[in-house]
Amino acid sequence: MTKYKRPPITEAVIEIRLDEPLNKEKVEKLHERLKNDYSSSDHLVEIEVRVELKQPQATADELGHGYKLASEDQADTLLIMPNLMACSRLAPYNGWEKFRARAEENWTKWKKSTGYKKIQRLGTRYINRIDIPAADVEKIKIEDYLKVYPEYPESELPSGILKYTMQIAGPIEEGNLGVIINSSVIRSPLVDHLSVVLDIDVSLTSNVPQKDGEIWEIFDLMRVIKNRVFESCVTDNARKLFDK
Amino acid sequence: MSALISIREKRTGSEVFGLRPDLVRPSMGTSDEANAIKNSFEEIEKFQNWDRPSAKFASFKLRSTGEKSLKEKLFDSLVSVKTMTSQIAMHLDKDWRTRLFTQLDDLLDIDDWHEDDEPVKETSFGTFLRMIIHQDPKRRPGFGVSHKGFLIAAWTSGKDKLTLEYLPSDMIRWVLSCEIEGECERAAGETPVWRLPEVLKAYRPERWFLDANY
Repeated sequence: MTKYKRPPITEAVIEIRLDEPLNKEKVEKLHERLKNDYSSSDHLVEIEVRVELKQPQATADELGHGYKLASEDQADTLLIMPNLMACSRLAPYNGWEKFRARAEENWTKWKKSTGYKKIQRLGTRYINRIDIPAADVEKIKIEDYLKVYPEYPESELPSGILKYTMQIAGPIEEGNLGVIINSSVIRSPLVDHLSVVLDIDVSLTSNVPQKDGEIWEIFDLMRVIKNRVFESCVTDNARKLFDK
Repeated sequence: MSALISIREKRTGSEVFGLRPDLVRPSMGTSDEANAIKNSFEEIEKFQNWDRPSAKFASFKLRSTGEKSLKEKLFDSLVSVKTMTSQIAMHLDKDWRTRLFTQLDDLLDIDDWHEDDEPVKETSFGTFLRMIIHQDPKRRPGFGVSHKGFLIAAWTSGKDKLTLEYLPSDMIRWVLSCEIEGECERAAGETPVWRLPEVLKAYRPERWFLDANY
């Protein structure tokens, strides 16, 4: 992504997913090793609740548990789950180098703690929100800001649309990577604005490298592709909003 | 052409631009296909709700073994308001954000908290964030919290005082006293965020908001 004054990134994620989940003891050990790098830790539990209607009773089973570690300003988080490590940065985004370095440092500690575990998937996800000024504007043409937008029968919806949600997914030839693009209208956090989300996920699920050097080369490639996809999806009007 | 409609619900104060969640939900279906569509859109939308930034985390529940302690409640509130702030951080001055967080740390400090008071409500803090970006005050206010958990911000300049209480649904309760042509004037009211600049205009709000050296 070109260096914008106000990058529209609301969340960036680097995720490493394992082929087999870690057992509870390993998750606890990881938590002990990594928790001091963050200022807070939340215990996360996935629970399945079953309700028996014939003999009224409810049972709850724990499906998995993990931790969410967060920096003091809550902008940097690390998700430790039995089957994945997800390093996340919320806005304000301060660049790939810092973000990648933090993820790499976490992964190095992770591996030292768990030993080698087969990796199933590598992924980077960048969620962008484009805040479009809308005061005194009756309609906003999506194509003025995005090159990914829904086509619909104008004869049936002559006034325009209130909302759309779309997902496009497909393979990218270089490096056997795949991309998922989500886009949707959301309630804007800003007054007198319309906000559109452009969420880009680039991942690798086949021939996934297992060696550290190769893993981070793939993440660097994903970043290049993610930037290229982003720039291909936005117009100059959108770019002006990120540079104001 | 794809056009998004821009709608503002002026009467209720809970204006929603171009997105009326109550209008855009489809009729309920029961087939597998209906459920598949519903599930896939829920997955996307979970991630795109601006005040719940991370659906990965939202799909898990925090372990809770009974009533939370006051310390836990205040901590949760602090986490929540900081996370909400991150969603508009690209529009906030870096220094403003840093100092705001210091103020919030102080505000939600357990040592200064009355046990019966509610921590800051997300719905109130959301209104505050929308106001801050819309009104763009250069000067930071002093903060307090009402008994119900609504954030209160106060700007004082000499004898002139402006107090805003941030209510849910984008509403603001305001009280001010200021000197106009040698006379002390007092006023109060309740208004939606988007109307606040217009409402305060008669009282020259720059006396409170324009002071970058604060």
